[in-house]
Amino acid sequence: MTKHYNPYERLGLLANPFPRIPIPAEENNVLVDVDGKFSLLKRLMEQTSISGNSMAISLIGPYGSGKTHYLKALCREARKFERTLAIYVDNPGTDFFTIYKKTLEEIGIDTLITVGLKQVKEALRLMSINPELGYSWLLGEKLTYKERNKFNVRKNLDQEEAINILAETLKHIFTKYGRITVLLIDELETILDLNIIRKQRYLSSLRKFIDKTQYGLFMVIACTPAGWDTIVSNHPSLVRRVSRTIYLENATFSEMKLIVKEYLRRYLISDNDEEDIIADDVLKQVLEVTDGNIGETLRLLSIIVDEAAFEGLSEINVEFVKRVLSENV
Amino acid sequence: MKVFIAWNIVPEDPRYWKYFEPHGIMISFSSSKYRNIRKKLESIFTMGIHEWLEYKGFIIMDSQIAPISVSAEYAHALHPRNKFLHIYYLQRYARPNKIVHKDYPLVRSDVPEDLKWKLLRKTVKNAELLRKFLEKKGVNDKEVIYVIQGWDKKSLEWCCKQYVNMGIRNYAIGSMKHLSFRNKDEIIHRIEFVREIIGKRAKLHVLGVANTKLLPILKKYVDTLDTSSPIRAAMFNEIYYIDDKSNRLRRTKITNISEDDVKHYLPAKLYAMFVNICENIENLKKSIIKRKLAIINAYTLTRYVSLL
Repeated sequence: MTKHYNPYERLGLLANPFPRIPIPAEENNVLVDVDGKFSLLKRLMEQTSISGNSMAISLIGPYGSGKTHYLKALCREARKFERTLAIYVDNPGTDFFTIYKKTLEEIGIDTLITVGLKQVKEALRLMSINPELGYSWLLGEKLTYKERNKFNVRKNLDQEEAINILAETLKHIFTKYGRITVLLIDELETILDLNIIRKQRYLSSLRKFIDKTQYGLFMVIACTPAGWDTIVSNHPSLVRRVSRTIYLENATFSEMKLIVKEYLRRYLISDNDEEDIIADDVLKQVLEVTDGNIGETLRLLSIIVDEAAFEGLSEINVEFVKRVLSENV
Repeated sequence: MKVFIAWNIVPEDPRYWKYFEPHGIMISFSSSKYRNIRKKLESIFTMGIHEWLEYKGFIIMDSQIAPISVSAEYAHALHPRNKFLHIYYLQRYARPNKIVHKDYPLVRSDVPEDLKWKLLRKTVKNAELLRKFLEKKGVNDKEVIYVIQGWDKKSLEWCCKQYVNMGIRNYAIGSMKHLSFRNKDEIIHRIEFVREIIGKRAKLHVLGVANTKLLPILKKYVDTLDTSSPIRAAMFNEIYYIDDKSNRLRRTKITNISEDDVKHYLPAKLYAMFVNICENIENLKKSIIKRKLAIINAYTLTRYVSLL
């Protein structure tokens, strides 16, 4: 077998350890708990699973501060436990049905049947005639007038019904199985780009959903600071339902050092030291530019490692970093 | 004494620093009623305010992000947007040089006494909570300016003493704008009084000085102040100029002033701007005249304060 040339070998690396796209991959499990915010989220989730009292948390931070990273990590963490059902919604979409559908899909029809709601019964009736159509209808997908007539379906589900179904289901899952639902919604700010009617309706649905789900829900909504500020200004009724707001901050030098070390560790050729590859003064140079923004720091480090490897360097020094930064910032 | 020019994000004020070097700027987040502020704030929080503005000078970020002239002042103070931590993080994400702690201005005269005290207590409580919060995080609060509020000697004294007891060294005094023209002496008395309590070494900033006639007197008591008067004057087609004979700052309609009155101190670029306004006053758009005049006014004011 021919051995592929590894340009990163001279640097002591198996490959470039830093993500090229500043969105964490599903399998990316590098996690450094900046300022203890992740531990806090975990503790709150554990408390919810013990008490069963629902909780909604907003996770606020600028782009690159680690919101998605934390949500995905929390999702992985929650999935380790039998008592939790974890759902990660990468984007809230255009209406409440996005959250509703994703959650119901995760819960599965078998569990839904045990809830005994009239809409589920109706879906079961439909499924006995046309399985695909019945399930789609229950997930909130719209049947045409012709289809509804053919299968004798009175109407499509509306958002109010979806809220009730979801709230009842989560309550049932908690009271019957003792399981809490961890619902992680990313990019909440995108709702603000919807037209005014859809936006109002969506945010009001979220508020009603929180109100109706008194038990068994641990919900984290991630939002940018400007997006959250708009929601706080214009939709205080939703904000008042949020039990806690966690603000993410940029990483300090020592926190960023830990993050970098964690990334490097996985791609080190044995016997090498992480600090030999990204020395403190190199990292400081990058942080001067990024102010500790994690996503941006990792992106620039990825470029620096690529450039160093392509130039055949065996070490990365400050002068080289300055040059790369000047071309890429 | 240094003068900070008030700068609004939406609608965006002129970028003064492209024309001259201001002492610094004081930024307000502006009202959220403007729809496009979110996108701008998003960029500011990502890039940092200095990079976004392309300005390396000193920036203070104010804590007034919602209009204060609402009828139910206390209810307004309780609005989630006015929580000190929410404001603190917005300010922090923008990464200015200094931030102003979340206070509740007492600008309306019809607010009953007990409500004023409630608001004042909330202002002081916010300062206390912010200090505790920063202490817990191990962050030095040198970058925070704590706002003194009050409407008479008793309330001002109470507020100042609370802060002095907390060990605060950076102060600002607020709710002055509405007194600027009506009661000049009252402003001076208040500032004099505050300075006496906080001591000579403490730093004192005056928030929102509308009346520029006060500047020579304020110099004795304060280190910095901010004003939006350059753009406010510009809105009325008025220009600041430094009167050669009296060495005073004066304000007049642009049509009442000749090129010779300003030629000796305006830099070439700004002088050309002035000439352009004078020559094309009938043809230029009102918004363009306003922006150009604001720049000239801000420069003149900065120069005047530097010479005081």
